[in-house]
Amino acid sequence: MRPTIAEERAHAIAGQLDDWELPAEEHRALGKQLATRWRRNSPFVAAAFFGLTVFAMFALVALCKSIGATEFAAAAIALGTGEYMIRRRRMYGSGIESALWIGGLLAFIAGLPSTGEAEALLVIAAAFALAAWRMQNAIFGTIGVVCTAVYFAAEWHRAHDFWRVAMVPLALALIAIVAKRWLFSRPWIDSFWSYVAIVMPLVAEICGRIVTYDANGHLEYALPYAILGVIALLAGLHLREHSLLIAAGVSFAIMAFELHDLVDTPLEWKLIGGGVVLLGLAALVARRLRGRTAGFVATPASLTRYDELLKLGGTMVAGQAMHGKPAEPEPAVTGTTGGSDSFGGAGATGDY
Amino acid sequence: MLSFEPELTDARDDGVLTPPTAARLIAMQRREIFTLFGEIRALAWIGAMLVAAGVSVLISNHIKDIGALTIAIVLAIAAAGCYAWAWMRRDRASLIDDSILLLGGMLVSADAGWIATQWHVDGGRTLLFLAIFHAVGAYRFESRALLSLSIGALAGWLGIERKLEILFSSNVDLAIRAFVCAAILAAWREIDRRARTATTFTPVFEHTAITLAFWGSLIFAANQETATVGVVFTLALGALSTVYAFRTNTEAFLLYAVIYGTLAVDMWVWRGFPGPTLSPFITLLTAIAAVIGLTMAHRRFRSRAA
Repeated sequence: MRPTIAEERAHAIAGQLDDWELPAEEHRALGKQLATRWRRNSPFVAAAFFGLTVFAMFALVALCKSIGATEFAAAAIALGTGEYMIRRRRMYGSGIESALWIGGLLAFIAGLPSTGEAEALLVIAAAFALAAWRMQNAIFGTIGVVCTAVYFAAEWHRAHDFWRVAMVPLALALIAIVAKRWLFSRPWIDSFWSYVAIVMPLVAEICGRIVTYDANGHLEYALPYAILGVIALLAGLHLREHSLLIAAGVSFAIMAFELHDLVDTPLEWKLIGGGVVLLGLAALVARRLRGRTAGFVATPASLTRYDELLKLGGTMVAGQAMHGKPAEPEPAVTGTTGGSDSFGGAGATGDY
Repeated sequence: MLSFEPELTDARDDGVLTPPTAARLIAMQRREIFTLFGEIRALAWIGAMLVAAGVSVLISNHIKDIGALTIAIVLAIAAAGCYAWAWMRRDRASLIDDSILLLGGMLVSADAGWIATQWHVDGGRTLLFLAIFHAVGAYRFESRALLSLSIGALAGWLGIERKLEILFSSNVDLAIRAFVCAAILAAWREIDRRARTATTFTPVFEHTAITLAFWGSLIFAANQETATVGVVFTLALGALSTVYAFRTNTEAFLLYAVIYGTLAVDMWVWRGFPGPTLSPFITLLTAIAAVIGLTMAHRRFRSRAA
């Protein structure tokens, strides 16, 4: 038992209603039309429920182990409760039942005898895949795919071959870009391919770096990211799909990271130059789109629901790094007298 | 790809959506209108952050090569350039102007820090100066990003770093500083709200102040001598936060109350009831209680909103 396609689509539309800037009357009427029998929460609330339930799962596993009931008992309790909530309480997307499902499966895996083999990653990937299917959760699905890519990296790490290890995640990213071409009726599957396209280039780079024990940039390593970035960019512009544009941004960022060693310019100038290029690019695109009302436009809209939160939070943290460390709290030291003789920021701090 | 065109067409045919609204939404679903607003703003923000990071590295790596005065002057000129850009374009602001202004603010921060260290100006005073300077900029340009810088500098002046590690610190002095900072922000928010009815700064003050206050009480709860006081503080703050959530219809405050409250109670439990069975049992009970409490509060919240 899980939401039908129509119900899942209704949930997805309901999640976007606030971004559509509808008149209050139409907003209310459409919201009413989209109501389903399932109890759901907004992503922010669902994340809070998910966190609290995961916390409870840890305690449950510890409790079961301490009374000799093993992790399997914890798994059975969690999965049983999760299913009860879905079938009887009609909870789907509340954050609780998904935490119980994935927590139960991981508790079950934790109870299995550990052999230290890389195949454990495949078992974890299967658990996430199963939870993704049951809960229609794109994030679980993506974690499953990441675990699969990491499994191949672990299997082949002795070869210390970047290409062999990066090939799997890069191929998956490419498949995801191609998959975005099709119209999906289930929103979670569309989101799944979006996340895979965004995350896999990063997985390829991290796995490749780890197995080669190499921190230096290579032109030949930058090339696949450049090609993938161009493909994602062209596909994103052609299909008019935000997730592919983000995937292109990730690929280009990794490409720039790979190239940074090859240019004999100090890091600070590379950072400043890169920043100026991005600012210039943003200004150019904004200028080209000014006043347009159809096709590509620049009318206000959120890329994610938490754009402003991310920006202000990031600014506050980065700002503190720029204007230095605060005074070390010591007894009887007032704020004004606390010295601050360390300055720097964004990874560069120094005492003068 | 995903398209909700069939559902929107049905909604139009059923009279739920008016034809103009439906036409606009269907055009969006067909990608006949596709906004790059988010991408442009993200590019500009990342660009500004990269430049600021580069300047930071520049200062660290070239102290001796360039000379203290030259660095100070160049940074001041660059910052002034950013502010001038934002000022001249205030009537026809584009999507990147906010990021240029933010870059200017960050360059001022870097410059002030540099001057303080090179000419032995008191670091605390520099942070206070930055808090005031960025606050003036925030009001002049109506910029929440500059306000964030100002609050960050104020917290720095009071000795608070916005790092997760401080949650697990048991330094009572740090907790008191967090409370003081929260109180200042609460007072500032009230003055701002009364002085400017159309202010957009209120959420920034509110969320930062409540977070700092909860962090302060959690630090109390982590300290052996003040653990009980810390739990009581956190629960009292949680109650206030819940009331405020219902009064203002802002669910985030409800979540803060439940999450921080659960954390504080569990920290107290772990200290007071050690043992392999009792500790996880009580933790499980508190977590279940938190989930049930939040479910009930959330349901009430939704029914009120409806």
